[in-house]
Amino acid sequence: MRSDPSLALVLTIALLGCAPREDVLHPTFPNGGQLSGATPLQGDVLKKLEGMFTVSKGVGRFGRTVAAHAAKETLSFFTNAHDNYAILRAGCLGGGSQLLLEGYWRYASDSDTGLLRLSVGPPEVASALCSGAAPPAPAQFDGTMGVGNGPLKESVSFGFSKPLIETAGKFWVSAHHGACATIDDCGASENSVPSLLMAESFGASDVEVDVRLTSDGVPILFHDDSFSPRLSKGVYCHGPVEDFTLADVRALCRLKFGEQVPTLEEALQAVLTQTSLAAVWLDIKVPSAIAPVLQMQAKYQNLARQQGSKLAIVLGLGETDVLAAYRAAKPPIGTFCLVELSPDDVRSTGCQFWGPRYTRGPMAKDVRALQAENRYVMYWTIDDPTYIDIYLRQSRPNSILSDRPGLVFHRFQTLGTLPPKERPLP
Amino acid sequence: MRLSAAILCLVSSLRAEADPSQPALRGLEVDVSAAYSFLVSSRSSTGAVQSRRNGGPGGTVAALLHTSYFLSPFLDLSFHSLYASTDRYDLDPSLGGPVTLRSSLLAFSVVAGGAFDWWKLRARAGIGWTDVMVRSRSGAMRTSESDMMYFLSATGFIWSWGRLKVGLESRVGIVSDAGISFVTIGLVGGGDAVRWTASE
Repeated sequence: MRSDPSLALVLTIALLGCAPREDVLHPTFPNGGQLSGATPLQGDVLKKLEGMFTVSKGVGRFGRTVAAHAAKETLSFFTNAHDNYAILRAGCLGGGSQLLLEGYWRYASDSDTGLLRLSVGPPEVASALCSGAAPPAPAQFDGTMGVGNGPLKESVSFGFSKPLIETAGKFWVSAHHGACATIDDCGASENSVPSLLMAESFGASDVEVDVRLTSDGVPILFHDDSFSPRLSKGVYCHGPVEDFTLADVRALCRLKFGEQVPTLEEALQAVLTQTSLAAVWLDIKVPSAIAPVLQMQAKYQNLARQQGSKLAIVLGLGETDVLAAYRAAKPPIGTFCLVELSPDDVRSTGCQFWGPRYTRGPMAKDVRALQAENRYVMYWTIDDPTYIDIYLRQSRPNSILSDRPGLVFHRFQTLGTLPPKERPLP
Repeated sequence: MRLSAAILCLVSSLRAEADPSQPALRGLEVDVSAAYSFLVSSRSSTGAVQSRRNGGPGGTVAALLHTSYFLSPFLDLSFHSLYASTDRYDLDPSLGGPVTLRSSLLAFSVVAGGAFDWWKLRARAGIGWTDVMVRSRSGAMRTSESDMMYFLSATGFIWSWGRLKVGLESRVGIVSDAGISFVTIGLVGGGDAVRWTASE
């Protein structure tokens, strides 16, 4: 008998490399923290705390700079160090003399996380914000952070350095199927309504979602062609999506974190009525979904106009068969659409958006040519800060799609690479 | 999964060479088994369970080539009823409202690998393809998902009559992409359908 230890070694290493990621803790302050009795501050007040900040304490966790970004009920801090982000709620204490923020920090590409508590200074800034007035000076954040649910031991201090670059109509931070990928466990499954509602807190100005069709013709949000434990759960939730009616999906399947698989209509309703997102990019996975999705797009685009919303609902055409089905459907001129194939396909289809895969390279010349034609370029899907910087600097796109929207937000605000001044984004 | 795959790695890395002092006897063994299967992975249902049955009957057919080498290659075809339940689901009125469904989970597998015989015992390890099948709405909804399966089995042949032997077998199937693991226990019988002496 002759053994081959090298084969056993290689296969053993491969197996150990398949170790699943440990469960992510979602830390919370006991009994709701110090903000449990406070009136939460809303986005319009939190907006006054936005800006780029220099980190003087907590550099090991947050790096040298953080970008502060306000959403509906949260203030978030983003940095490129460890892909760290922090999401906090704010409230006034002490009769309005103290403005406190409580929440958590998390390394997006890892499971490290912990609690974070910051107070806003100087006192006159806190008092002004708590009374709804404009702050007389830039804000300063000082506080402490912990690891896991452990005590807050590490000091943190952020000092204002400059205001944020206004991005409305110029640059979109696009979130890849919601606030995060399911595997990154930010507390909600990808392509779920809760994840869409969280996306702005994670730095997104628009979201991309994946659209498939059930066997009874209902467009739903789901990425893979089959239900499997990668993204869904349920002992009977196995098999191709197109084999399930919507009733089957609702009965037999849940997303990884327990949410219902949403219909496209539910998702658009939630985005339109509960967020300020600028756009939804519908990545259409099967040609048969084109017709029902076009109907849904028209319905919600009209609803958005009626409600005074600028929400753009963009049909994403990623494959040749989907593109062919879109052309065959002869959609009305002006329908928002994005082609992932060649620039010529964008032109011949009459689409406003080009969505090249980033692995094709920066292609600055093509980007500039399309922007000169009043079209927009949205790269997908870049999660690495080095590549984000390269593409922002060389291509100056209108958007980058990422599983780490906070990282793109920080890099864009740091580099300030606005696209050439052409037609503003919808 | 790691354990089964590690054992598989180890077994597959042990490559034996022929013993020149022994006559090169060959044989093609065919075995059939009747077994009962149990699902050991998550059985979480998305409805309110009214009744459930973990496991069910199944059967296998396997062919194994006896060689003078340490491991004997085999091919194994199996069918297992893994789980069945009746659940109540509170669907939205637009989808028909509350409904009670009887559903079942089945698996058909084809596995190839190596077997090691020692005394009356046999250990097998292999990798194969499995089709995980779902039946619901009393069979009106039928779908399936194909995935790779890791396979391990242990067999003890207790009785033998000439070429025929009968024993007990336990097997483990791990369909990692489907998140399904199952164990079966059953009765196996078979023997060499063909024997010959190699001319080497």
